[in-house]
Amino acid sequence: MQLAQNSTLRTIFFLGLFVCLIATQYTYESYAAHRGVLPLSNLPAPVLKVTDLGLNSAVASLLWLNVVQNVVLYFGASSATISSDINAVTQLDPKFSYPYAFAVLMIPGFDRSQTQAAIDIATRGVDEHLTDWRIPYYLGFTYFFYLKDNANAIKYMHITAETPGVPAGIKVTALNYGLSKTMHEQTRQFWQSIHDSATDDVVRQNAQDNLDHMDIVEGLQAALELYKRIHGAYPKAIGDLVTSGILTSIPEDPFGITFATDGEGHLTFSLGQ
Amino acid sequence: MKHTHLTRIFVVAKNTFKESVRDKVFYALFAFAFVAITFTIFLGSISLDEDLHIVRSLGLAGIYLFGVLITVFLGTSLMYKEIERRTLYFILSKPISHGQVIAGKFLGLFSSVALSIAGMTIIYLGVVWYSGGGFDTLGLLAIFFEIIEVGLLIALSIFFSTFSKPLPSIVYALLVIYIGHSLGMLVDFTKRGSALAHDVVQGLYYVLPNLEKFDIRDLVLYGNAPSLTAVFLVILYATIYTIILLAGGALLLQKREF
Repeated sequence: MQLAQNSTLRTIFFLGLFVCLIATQYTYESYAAHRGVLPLSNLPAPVLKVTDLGLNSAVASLLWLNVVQNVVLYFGASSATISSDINAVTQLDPKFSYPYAFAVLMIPGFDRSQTQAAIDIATRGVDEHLTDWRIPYYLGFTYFFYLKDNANAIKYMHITAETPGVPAGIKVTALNYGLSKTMHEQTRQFWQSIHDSATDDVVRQNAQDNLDHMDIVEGLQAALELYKRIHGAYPKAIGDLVTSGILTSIPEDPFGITFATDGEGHLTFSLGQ
Repeated sequence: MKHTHLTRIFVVAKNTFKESVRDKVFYALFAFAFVAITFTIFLGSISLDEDLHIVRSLGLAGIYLFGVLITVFLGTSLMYKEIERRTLYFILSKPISHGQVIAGKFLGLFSSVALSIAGMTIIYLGVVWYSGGGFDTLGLLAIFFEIIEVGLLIALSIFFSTFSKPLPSIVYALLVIYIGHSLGMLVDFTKRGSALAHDVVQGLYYVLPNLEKFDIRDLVLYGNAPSLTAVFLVILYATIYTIILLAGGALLLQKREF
Protein backbone atom coordinates (compact mmCIF):
# COMPACT_ATOMS: atom_id res chain seq x y z
CA MET A 1 0.00 0.00 0.00
CA GLN A 2 2.76 2.35 1.07
CA LEU A 3 4.75 1.28 -2.01
CA ALA A 4 1.84 2.00 -4.38
CA GLN A 5 1.35 5.42 -2.77
CA ASN A 6 5.04 6.23 -3.22
CA SER A 7 4.88 5.17 -6.85
CA THR A 8 1.83 7.39 -7.50
CA LEU A 9 3.52 10.34 -5.80
CA ARG A 10 6.63 9.80 -7.88
CA THR A 11 4.58 9.70 -11.09
CA ILE A 12 2.74 12.90 -10.11
CA PHE A 13 6.06 14.53 -9.22
CA PHE A 14 7.61 13.70 -12.61
CA LEU A 15 4.46 14.69 -14.50
CA GLY A 16 4.49 18.01 -12.61
CA LEU A 17 8.12 18.52 -13.56
CA PHE A 18 7.35 17.84 -17.24
CA VAL A 19 4.46 20.30 -17.19
CA CYS A 20 6.78 22.92 -15.67
CA LEU A 21 9.38 22.11 -18.32
CA ILE A 22 6.89 22.55 -21.19
CA ALA A 23 5.60 25.80 -19.62
CA THR A 24 9.18 27.11 -19.37
CA GLN A 25 9.87 26.21 -22.98
CA TYR A 26 6.60 27.86 -24.05
CA THR A 27 7.49 31.05 -22.15
CA TYR A 28 10.97 30.97 -23.64
CA GLU A 29 9.53 30.71 -27.18
CA SER A 30 7.56 33.92 -26.77
CA TYR A 31 10.63 35.58 -25.24
CA ALA A 32 12.93 34.26 -27.97
CA ALA A 33 10.67 35.62 -30.68
CA HIS A 34 11.36 39.13 -29.41
CA ARG A 35 14.99 38.93 -28.46
CA GLY A 36 17.45 39.87 -31.15
CA VAL A 37 20.02 37.38 -32.36
CA LEU A 38 23.39 38.37 -33.66
CA PRO A 39 23.86 36.68 -37.01
CA LEU A 40 27.36 35.51 -37.88
CA SER A 41 27.26 37.77 -40.89
CA ASN A 42 27.15 40.89 -38.70
CA LEU A 43 30.81 40.32 -37.94
CA PRO A 44 33.12 42.20 -40.31
CA ALA A 45 35.21 40.10 -42.70
CA PRO A 46 38.56 40.97 -41.00
CA VAL A 47 37.19 39.68 -37.67
CA LEU A 48 35.94 36.50 -39.33
CA LYS A 49 39.35 36.06 -40.98
CA VAL A 50 41.13 36.25 -37.62
CA THR A 51 38.77 33.81 -35.93
CA ASP A 52 38.09 31.16 -38.55
CA LEU A 53 41.33 29.10 -38.20
CA GLY A 54 42.16 29.75 -41.83
CA LEU A 55 38.89 28.19 -43.00
CA ASN A 56 38.11 31.33 -45.05
CA SER A 57 36.48 29.63 -48.01
CA ALA A 58 34.34 27.41 -45.76
CA VAL A 59 33.10 30.44 -43.78
CA ALA A 60 32.49 32.28 -47.06
CA SER A 61 30.46 29.29 -48.28
CA LEU A 62 28.34 29.35 -45.11
CA LEU A 63 27.78 33.09 -45.51
CA TRP A 64 26.82 32.54 -49.14
CA LEU A 65 24.22 29.96 -48.05
CA ASN A 66 22.92 32.57 -45.62
CA VAL A 67 22.61 35.07 -48.49
CA VAL A 68 20.79 32.51 -50.62
CA GLN A 69 18.33 31.79 -47.83
CA ASN A 70 17.66 35.51 -47.36
CA VAL A 71 17.14 36.02 -51.08
CA VAL A 72 14.95 32.95 -51.54
CA LEU A 73 12.87 33.92 -48.53
CA TYR A 74 12.99 37.44 -49.97
CA PHE A 75 13.12 40.24 -47.44
CA GLY A 76 14.11 37.77 -44.75
CA ALA A 77 16.88 40.32 -44.40
CA SER A 78 17.24 43.87 -45.65
CA SER A 79 18.95 44.44 -48.96
CA ALA A 80 21.69 46.29 -47.07
CA THR A 81 22.33 43.13 -45.04
CA ILE A 82 22.39 41.00 -48.21
CA SER A 83 24.81 43.47 -49.74
CA SER A 84 27.09 43.48 -46.70
CA ASP A 85 26.96 39.67 -46.47
CA ILE A 86 28.03 39.30 -50.11
CA ASN A 87 30.74 41.86 -49.44
CA ALA A 88 32.01 39.66 -46.60
CA VAL A 89 31.84 36.54 -48.82
CA THR A 90 33.97 38.18 -51.49
CA GLN A 91 36.49 39.49 -48.96
CA LEU A 92 36.88 36.10 -47.30
CA ASP A 93 37.07 34.22 -50.57
CA PRO A 94 37.97 36.69 -53.36
CA LYS A 95 38.13 33.97 -56.02
CA PHE A 96 34.54 32.78 -55.41
CA SER A 97 33.13 34.46 -58.52
CA TYR A 98 29.38 33.99 -58.57
CA PRO A 99 28.53 36.21 -55.56
CA TYR A 100 29.99 39.24 -57.41
CA ALA A 101 27.73 38.61 -60.40
CA PHE A 102 24.70 37.73 -58.30
CA ALA A 103 25.07 40.89 -56.19
CA VAL A 104 25.13 43.30 -59.10
CA LEU A 105 22.20 41.67 -60.87
CA MET A 106 19.86 41.07 -57.93
CA ILE A 107 20.49 43.73 -55.28
CA PRO A 108 19.44 46.80 -57.36
CA GLY A 109 16.18 44.96 -58.11
CA PHE A 110 15.49 44.66 -54.37
CA ASP A 111 16.53 48.16 -53.45
CA ARG A 112 17.72 50.87 -55.84
CA SER A 113 19.55 52.67 -53.02
CA GLN A 114 21.96 49.70 -52.85
CA THR A 115 22.85 49.92 -56.56
CA GLN A 116 26.20 51.63 -55.99
CA ALA A 117 27.15 49.13 -53.25
CA ALA A 118 26.33 46.28 -55.66
CA ILE A 119 28.35 47.93 -58.44
CA ASP A 120 31.33 48.32 -56.08
CA ILE A 121 31.21 44.60 -55.26
CA ALA A 122 31.11 43.57 -58.94
CA THR A 123 33.82 46.05 -59.92
CA ARG A 124 36.12 44.36 -57.39
CA GLY A 125 35.23 41.07 -59.05
CA VAL A 126 36.28 42.40 -62.45
CA ASP A 127 39.50 43.78 -60.91
CA GLU A 128 40.26 40.31 -59.50
CA HIS A 129 40.59 39.16 -63.17
CA LEU A 130 38.16 36.31 -62.61
CA THR A 131 37.17 34.44 -65.74
CA ASP A 132 33.46 34.50 -64.99
CA TRP A 133 31.76 36.38 -67.85
CA ARG A 134 28.65 36.91 -65.71
CA ILE A 135 30.38 39.55 -63.58
CA PRO A 136 31.07 42.09 -66.37
CA TYR A 137 27.85 41.16 -68.22
CA TYR A 138 25.56 41.73 -65.26
CA LEU A 139 27.59 44.80 -64.29
CA GLY A 140 27.19 46.30 -67.77
CA PHE A 141 23.49 45.48 -67.71
CA THR A 142 23.08 47.21 -64.33
CA TYR A 143 24.81 50.33 -65.67
CA PHE A 144 22.44 50.26 -68.67
CA PHE A 145 19.18 49.34 -66.95
CA TYR A 146 19.33 51.04 -63.55
CA LEU A 147 21.75 53.92 -64.11
CA LYS A 148 21.28 54.61 -67.86
CA ASP A 149 25.09 54.93 -67.97
CA ASN A 150 25.98 54.00 -71.55
CA ALA A 151 29.71 54.62 -71.28
CA ASN A 152 30.18 52.12 -68.46
CA ALA A 153 27.67 49.71 -70.00
CA ILE A 154 29.71 49.65 -73.23
CA LYS A 155 32.95 49.23 -71.25
CA TYR A 156 31.74 46.13 -69.42
CA MET A 157 30.02 44.68 -72.49
CA HIS A 158 33.41 44.79 -74.22
CA ILE A 159 35.05 43.08 -71.24
CA THR A 160 32.31 40.42 -71.38
CA ALA A 161 32.89 39.77 -75.07
CA GLU A 162 36.62 39.30 -74.42
CA THR A 163 36.21 37.01 -71.40
CA PRO A 164 37.34 33.44 -72.21
CA GLY A 165 34.54 30.91 -72.28
CA VAL A 166 31.70 33.39 -72.77
CA PRO A 167 28.73 31.66 -74.47
CA ALA A 168 28.24 32.64 -78.13
CA GLY A 169 24.76 34.10 -77.53
CA ILE A 170 25.98 36.33 -74.72
CA LYS A 171 28.97 37.46 -76.79
CA VAL A 172 26.64 38.49 -79.64
CA THR A 173 24.33 40.42 -77.26
CA ALA A 174 27.32 42.12 -75.63
CA LEU A 175 28.93 43.08 -78.94
CA ASN A 176 25.60 44.32 -80.35
CA TYR A 177 24.96 46.52 -77.33
CA GLY A 178 23.59 49.89 -78.49
CA LEU A 179 22.36 48.63 -81.86
CA SER A 180 18.78 47.99 -80.72
CA LYS A 181 16.19 50.51 -81.94
CA THR A 182 14.73 51.17 -78.51
CA MET A 183 15.77 50.82 -74.90
CA HIS A 184 12.75 48.57 -74.48
CA GLU A 185 14.02 46.18 -77.13
CA GLN A 186 17.53 46.23 -75.67
CA THR A 187 16.15 45.51 -72.18
CA ARG A 188 14.16 42.55 -73.47
CA GLN A 189 17.24 41.16 -75.22
CA PHE A 190 19.21 41.38 -72.00
CA TRP A 191 16.58 39.73 -69.82
CA GLN A 192 16.07 37.01 -72.42
CA SER A 193 19.82 36.31 -72.60
CA ILE A 194 20.09 36.30 -68.79
CA HIS A 195 17.15 33.91 -68.60
CA ASP A 196 18.55 31.57 -71.24
CA SER A 197 22.06 31.45 -69.78
CA ALA A 198 21.19 31.34 -66.06
CA THR A 199 22.21 28.18 -64.29
CA ASP A 200 20.39 28.91 -61.05
CA ASP A 201 16.66 29.06 -60.48
CA VAL A 202 16.58 32.38 -58.62
CA VAL A 203 18.24 34.38 -61.41
CA ARG A 204 16.28 32.53 -64.10
CA GLN A 205 13.00 33.20 -62.29
CA ASN A 206 13.93 36.85 -61.78
CA ALA A 207 14.65 37.22 -65.51
CA GLN A 208 11.38 35.44 -66.34
CA ASP A 209 9.47 37.77 -63.98
CA ASN A 210 11.00 40.77 -65.72
CA LEU A 211 10.05 39.37 -69.14
CA ASP A 212 6.50 38.66 -67.90
CA HIS A 213 6.30 42.19 -66.49
CA MET A 214 7.32 43.61 -69.87
CA ASP A 215 4.70 41.42 -71.62
CA ILE A 216 2.00 42.64 -69.25
CA VAL A 217 2.90 46.30 -69.75
CA GLU A 218 2.99 45.87 -73.55
CA GLY A 219 -0.35 44.02 -73.48
CA LEU A 220 -2.03 46.71 -71.37
CA GLN A 221 -0.71 49.49 -73.61
CA ALA A 222 -2.01 47.68 -76.68
CA ALA A 223 -5.39 47.21 -74.91
CA LEU A 224 -5.56 50.96 -74.14
CA GLU A 225 -4.99 51.75 -77.83
CA LEU A 226 -7.62 49.21 -78.90
CA TYR A 227 -10.10 50.74 -76.43
CA LYS A 228 -9.49 54.18 -77.97
CA ARG A 229 -9.99 52.82 -81.48
CA ILE A 230 -13.32 51.25 -80.46
CA HIS A 231 -14.66 53.97 -78.10
CA GLY A 232 -12.95 57.08 -79.47
CA ALA A 233 -11.27 57.92 -76.15
CA TYR A 234 -8.93 56.30 -73.67
CA PRO A 235 -10.56 54.54 -70.68
CA LYS A 236 -10.90 56.55 -67.46
CA ALA A 237 -10.03 53.53 -65.30
CA ILE A 238 -8.01 50.40 -65.98
CA GLY A 239 -11.04 48.30 -65.09
CA ASP A 240 -12.84 49.68 -68.17
CA LEU A 241 -10.67 47.37 -70.27
CA VAL A 242 -12.42 44.43 -68.58
CA THR A 243 -15.96 45.85 -68.55
CA SER A 244 -15.67 46.67 -72.23
CA GLY A 245 -14.69 43.06 -72.93
CA ILE A 246 -11.22 43.85 -74.34
CA LEU A 247 -9.54 41.93 -71.49
CA THR A 248 -11.01 39.14 -69.41
CA SER A 249 -9.06 40.36 -66.37
CA ILE A 250 -6.18 42.67 -65.46
CA PRO A 251 -3.10 40.44 -65.45
CA GLU A 252 -1.33 39.88 -62.15
CA ASP A 253 2.15 41.38 -62.13
CA PRO A 254 4.95 39.09 -60.82
CA PHE A 255 6.35 41.97 -58.74
CA GLY A 256 2.95 42.83 -57.23
CA ILE A 257 2.66 46.09 -59.19
CA THR A 258 -0.86 47.53 -59.49
CA PHE A 259 -1.69 49.20 -62.81
CA ALA A 260 -3.88 52.24 -63.36
CA THR A 261 -4.39 54.75 -66.17
CA ASP A 262 -4.51 58.55 -66.18
CA GLY A 263 -7.34 58.66 -68.74
CA GLU A 264 -4.96 59.91 -71.45
CA GLY A 265 -3.59 56.57 -72.53
CA HIS A 266 -0.74 56.35 -70.06
CA LEU A 267 -0.22 53.53 -67.60
CA THR A 268 0.64 54.38 -64.01
CA PHE A 269 2.22 51.96 -61.57
CA SER A 270 2.05 51.51 -57.85
CA LEU A 271 3.24 48.78 -55.50
CA GLY A 272 0.52 46.85 -53.68
CA GLN A 273 -3.20 47.37 -53.83
CA MET B 1 70.39 -2.91 -32.30
CA LYS B 2 68.60 -0.40 -34.48
CA HIS B 3 66.06 -3.05 -35.37
CA THR B 4 65.36 -3.63 -31.66
CA HIS B 5 64.75 0.09 -31.11
CA LEU B 6 62.27 0.15 -33.95
CA THR B 7 60.57 -3.03 -32.76
CA ARG B 8 60.00 -1.54 -29.29
CA ILE B 9 58.56 1.65 -30.81
CA PHE B 10 56.40 -0.46 -33.10
CA VAL B 11 54.99 -2.48 -30.17
CA VAL B 12 53.98 0.70 -28.31
CA ALA B 13 52.58 2.17 -31.53
CA LYS B 14 50.54 -0.95 -32.21
CA ASN B 15 49.03 -0.93 -28.73
CA THR B 16 48.32 2.82 -28.88
CA PHE B 17 46.66 2.36 -32.25
CA LYS B 18 44.45 -0.43 -30.90
CA GLU B 19 43.61 1.58 -27.82
CA SER B 20 42.70 4.76 -29.70
CA VAL B 21 40.54 3.04 -32.33
CA ARG B 22 38.61 1.43 -29.45
CA ASP B 23 37.93 4.83 -27.89
CA LYS B 24 34.26 5.88 -28.05
CA VAL B 25 35.27 9.50 -28.75
CA PHE B 26 36.96 8.30 -31.93
CA TYR B 27 33.78 6.68 -33.24
CA ALA B 28 31.50 9.49 -32.07
CA LEU B 29 33.58 12.11 -33.87
CA PHE B 30 33.90 9.94 -36.95
CA ALA B 31 30.12 9.50 -37.05
CA PHE B 32 29.66 13.27 -36.76
CA ALA B 33 32.20 13.77 -39.56
CA PHE B 34 30.34 11.28 -41.75
CA VAL B 35 27.05 13.13 -41.23
CA ALA B 36 28.65 16.57 -41.67
CA ILE B 37 30.46 15.71 -44.92
CA THR B 38 27.40 13.96 -46.38
CA PHE B 39 25.24 16.92 -45.34
CA THR B 40 27.26 19.16 -47.68
CA ILE B 41 25.32 17.55 -50.57
CA PHE B 42 22.16 19.14 -49.21
CA LEU B 43 23.93 22.46 -48.55
CA GLY B 44 25.28 22.41 -52.11
CA SER B 45 21.79 21.87 -53.47
CA ILE B 46 20.57 25.13 -51.94
CA SER B 47 23.54 27.21 -53.07
CA LEU B 48 22.26 28.44 -56.46
CA ASP B 49 24.22 26.06 -58.66
CA GLU B 50 27.44 26.42 -56.66
CA ASP B 51 27.16 22.83 -55.42
CA LEU B 52 30.71 21.79 -56.13
CA HIS B 53 32.25 24.86 -54.52
CA ILE B 54 30.18 24.40 -51.37
CA VAL B 55 30.81 20.65 -51.18
CA ARG B 56 34.58 21.05 -51.63
CA SER B 57 35.10 24.03 -49.33
CA LEU B 58 32.93 22.67 -46.51
CA GLY B 59 34.11 19.08 -47.05
CA LEU B 60 37.80 19.95 -46.76
CA ALA B 61 37.06 22.18 -43.75
CA GLY B 62 35.05 19.35 -42.14
CA ILE B 63 37.87 16.83 -42.57
CA TYR B 64 40.31 19.31 -41.03
CA LEU B 65 38.08 20.22 -38.07
CA PHE B 66 37.17 16.65 -37.21
CA GLY B 67 40.78 15.54 -37.65
CA VAL B 68 41.87 18.23 -35.20
CA LEU B 69 39.12 17.35 -32.73
CA ILE B 70 40.00 13.64 -32.77
CA THR B 71 43.68 14.54 -32.36
CA VAL B 72 43.14 16.93 -29.47
CA PHE B 73 40.67 14.74 -27.57
CA LEU B 74 42.70 11.56 -27.91
CA GLY B 75 46.17 13.08 -27.85
CA THR B 76 45.80 15.19 -24.73
CA SER B 77 44.83 12.23 -22.56
CA LEU B 78 47.28 9.77 -24.08
CA MET B 79 50.22 10.05 -21.66
CA TYR B 80 48.12 11.24 -18.77
CA LYS B 81 46.04 8.04 -18.80
CA GLU B 82 49.21 5.94 -18.69
CA ILE B 83 50.50 7.96 -15.76
CA GLU B 84 47.17 7.91 -13.88
CA ARG B 85 46.66 4.18 -14.41
CA ARG B 86 50.32 3.68 -13.50
CA THR B 87 50.72 1.49 -16.56
CA LEU B 88 53.67 3.65 -17.51
CA TYR B 89 55.62 2.07 -14.60
CA PHE B 90 55.02 -1.29 -16.13
CA ILE B 91 56.07 -0.19 -19.59
CA LEU B 92 59.18 1.59 -18.31
CA SER B 93 60.20 -1.44 -16.26
CA LYS B 94 60.84 -3.13 -19.60
CA PRO B 95 63.97 -2.37 -21.61
CA ILE B 96 62.42 0.67 -23.30
CA SER B 97 63.35 4.33 -23.05
CA HIS B 98 61.06 7.31 -22.43
CA GLY B 99 61.78 8.53 -25.94
CA GLN B 100 60.75 5.20 -27.44
CA VAL B 101 57.48 5.27 -25.49
CA ILE B 102 56.73 8.78 -26.71
CA ALA B 103 57.68 7.93 -30.31
CA GLY B 104 55.51 4.80 -30.18
CA LYS B 105 52.59 6.75 -28.75
CA PHE B 106 52.99 9.34 -31.48
CA LEU B 107 53.09 6.79 -34.30
CA GLY B 108 50.16 4.84 -32.88
CA LEU B 109 47.93 7.87 -32.56
CA PHE B 110 49.09 9.30 -35.86
CA SER B 111 48.14 6.01 -37.58
CA SER B 112 44.67 5.98 -36.04
CA VAL B 113 43.99 9.66 -36.83
CA ALA B 114 45.35 9.16 -40.36
CA LEU B 115 43.03 6.17 -40.69
CA SER B 116 40.03 8.27 -39.63
CA ILE B 117 41.06 11.02 -42.08
CA ALA B 118 41.39 8.36 -44.79
CA GLY B 119 37.82 7.26 -43.96
CA MET B 120 36.58 10.84 -44.15
CA THR B 121 38.48 11.29 -47.41
CA ILE B 122 36.67 8.35 -48.99
CA ILE B 123 33.34 9.91 -47.99
CA TYR B 124 34.51 13.31 -49.25
CA LEU B 125 35.67 11.92 -52.61
CA GLY B 126 32.33 10.13 -52.99
CA VAL B 127 30.41 13.32 -52.23
CA VAL B 128 32.51 15.38 -54.69
CA TRP B 129 32.09 12.71 -57.36
CA TYR B 130 28.32 12.61 -56.70
CA SER B 131 28.21 16.41 -57.06
CA GLY B 132 29.81 16.21 -60.49
CA GLY B 133 33.39 17.08 -59.54
CA GLY B 134 34.98 13.82 -60.68
CA PHE B 135 38.05 12.57 -58.80
CA ASP B 136 39.35 15.46 -56.68
CA THR B 137 43.13 15.02 -57.00
CA LEU B 138 43.93 18.50 -55.71
CA GLY B 139 41.57 17.91 -52.79
CA LEU B 140 43.75 14.90 -51.91
CA LEU B 141 46.79 17.19 -51.82
CA ALA B 142 44.99 19.55 -49.41
CA ILE B 143 44.08 16.54 -47.22
CA PHE B 144 47.72 15.39 -47.31
CA PHE B 145 48.72 18.81 -45.94
CA GLU B 146 46.01 18.47 -43.30
CA ILE B 147 47.47 15.10 -42.25
CA ILE B 148 50.93 16.69 -41.91
CA GLU B 149 49.43 19.42 -39.71
CA VAL B 150 47.57 16.84 -37.66
CA GLY B 151 50.88 15.01 -37.12
CA LEU B 152 52.37 18.15 -35.64
CA LEU B 153 49.27 18.66 -33.50
CA ILE B 154 49.51 15.08 -32.20
CA ALA B 155 53.09 15.78 -31.12
CA LEU B 156 51.87 18.98 -29.48
CA SER B 157 49.04 17.18 -27.65
CA ILE B 158 51.40 14.44 -26.44
CA PHE B 159 53.85 17.12 -25.28
CA PHE B 160 51.13 18.82 -23.22
CA SER B 161 49.82 15.52 -21.85
CA THR B 162 53.24 14.71 -20.34
CA PHE B 163 52.85 17.47 -17.76
CA SER B 164 49.18 18.45 -17.71
CA LYS B 165 45.75 16.96 -17.09
CA PRO B 166 43.54 16.35 -20.16
CA LEU B 167 41.26 19.40 -19.78
CA PRO B 168 44.02 22.02 -19.47
CA SER B 169 45.89 20.18 -22.25
CA ILE B 170 42.87 20.54 -24.54
CA VAL B 171 42.74 24.27 -23.77
CA TYR B 172 46.51 24.69 -24.39
CA ALA B 173 46.34 22.72 -27.62
CA LEU B 174 43.34 24.67 -28.94
CA LEU B 175 45.02 27.95 -28.01
CA VAL B 176 48.20 27.02 -29.85
CA ILE B 177 46.13 25.93 -32.89
CA TYR B 178 44.25 29.23 -32.84
CA ILE B 179 47.42 31.30 -32.43
CA GLY B 180 49.23 29.17 -35.01
CA HIS B 181 46.62 30.09 -37.59
CA SER B 182 46.62 33.79 -36.67
CA LEU B 183 50.36 34.50 -36.46
CA GLY B 184 50.65 35.89 -39.98
CA MET B 185 47.79 38.29 -39.37
CA LEU B 186 49.17 39.26 -35.94
CA VAL B 187 52.52 40.17 -37.52
CA ASP B 188 50.74 42.33 -40.11
CA PHE B 189 48.63 43.91 -37.39
CA THR B 190 51.59 44.83 -35.16
CA LYS B 191 53.39 46.46 -38.10
CA ARG B 192 51.16 49.47 -37.45
CA GLY B 193 51.92 49.46 -33.68
CA SER B 194 55.06 49.81 -31.60
CA ALA B 195 58.34 48.32 -32.76
CA LEU B 196 58.69 46.31 -29.53
CA ALA B 197 55.29 44.64 -29.95
CA HIS B 198 56.15 43.89 -33.54
CA ASP B 199 59.49 42.33 -32.55
CA VAL B 200 57.84 40.20 -29.85
CA VAL B 201 55.18 38.94 -32.26
CA GLN B 202 57.83 38.40 -34.92
CA GLY B 203 59.76 36.26 -32.41
CA LEU B 204 56.63 34.25 -31.60
CA TYR B 205 56.01 33.88 -35.32
CA TYR B 206 59.22 31.89 -35.65
CA VAL B 207 59.03 30.00 -32.35
CA LEU B 208 55.36 28.93 -32.16
CA PRO B 209 53.99 26.40 -34.65
CA ASN B 210 53.12 28.37 -37.75
CA LEU B 211 50.12 26.46 -39.04
CA GLU B 212 49.00 28.65 -41.95
CA LYS B 213 51.49 26.95 -44.26
CA PHE B 214 49.50 23.71 -43.97
CA ASP B 215 46.35 25.39 -45.26
CA ILE B 216 46.23 25.04 -49.04
CA ARG B 217 42.46 24.53 -49.11
CA ASP B 218 41.74 27.93 -50.70
CA LEU B 219 44.49 27.29 -53.23
CA VAL B 220 43.28 23.88 -54.45
CA LEU B 221 39.67 25.04 -54.52
CA TYR B 222 40.52 27.11 -57.58
CA GLY B 223 42.68 24.53 -59.31
CA ASN B 224 46.08 25.68 -58.01
CA ALA B 225 48.74 23.53 -56.37
CA PRO B 226 51.76 24.52 -54.27
CA SER B 227 55.23 24.16 -55.77
CA LEU B 228 57.35 21.11 -55.00
CA THR B 229 59.73 23.31 -52.98
CA ALA B 230 56.80 24.49 -50.85
CA VAL B 231 55.69 20.90 -50.27
CA PHE B 232 59.24 19.91 -49.28
CA LEU B 233 59.65 22.87 -46.89
CA VAL B 234 56.28 22.21 -45.26
CA ILE B 235 57.14 18.54 -44.66
CA LEU B 236 60.59 19.53 -43.33
CA TYR B 237 59.10 22.17 -40.99
CA ALA B 238 56.53 19.72 -39.61
CA THR B 239 59.14 16.98 -39.16
CA ILE B 240 61.58 19.23 -37.27
CA TYR B 241 58.83 20.69 -35.07
CA THR B 242 57.42 17.22 -34.33
CA ILE B 243 60.86 15.91 -33.32
CA ILE B 244 61.39 18.92 -31.03
CA LEU B 245 58.01 18.38 -29.34
CA LEU B 246 58.45 14.63 -28.95
CA ALA B 247 61.99 15.02 -27.62
CA GLY B 248 60.75 17.72 -25.22
CA GLY B 249 57.92 15.44 -24.12
CA ALA B 250 60.34 12.55 -23.52
CA LEU B 251 62.60 14.83 -21.47
CA LEU B 252 59.66 16.07 -19.35
CA LEU B 253 58.50 12.51 -18.80
CA GLN B 254 61.97 11.46 -17.73
CA LYS B 255 62.21 14.30 -15.23
CA ARG B 256 58.76 13.60 -13.85
CA GLU B 257 58.68 11.77 -10.51
CA PHE B 258 56.34 8.82 -10.23
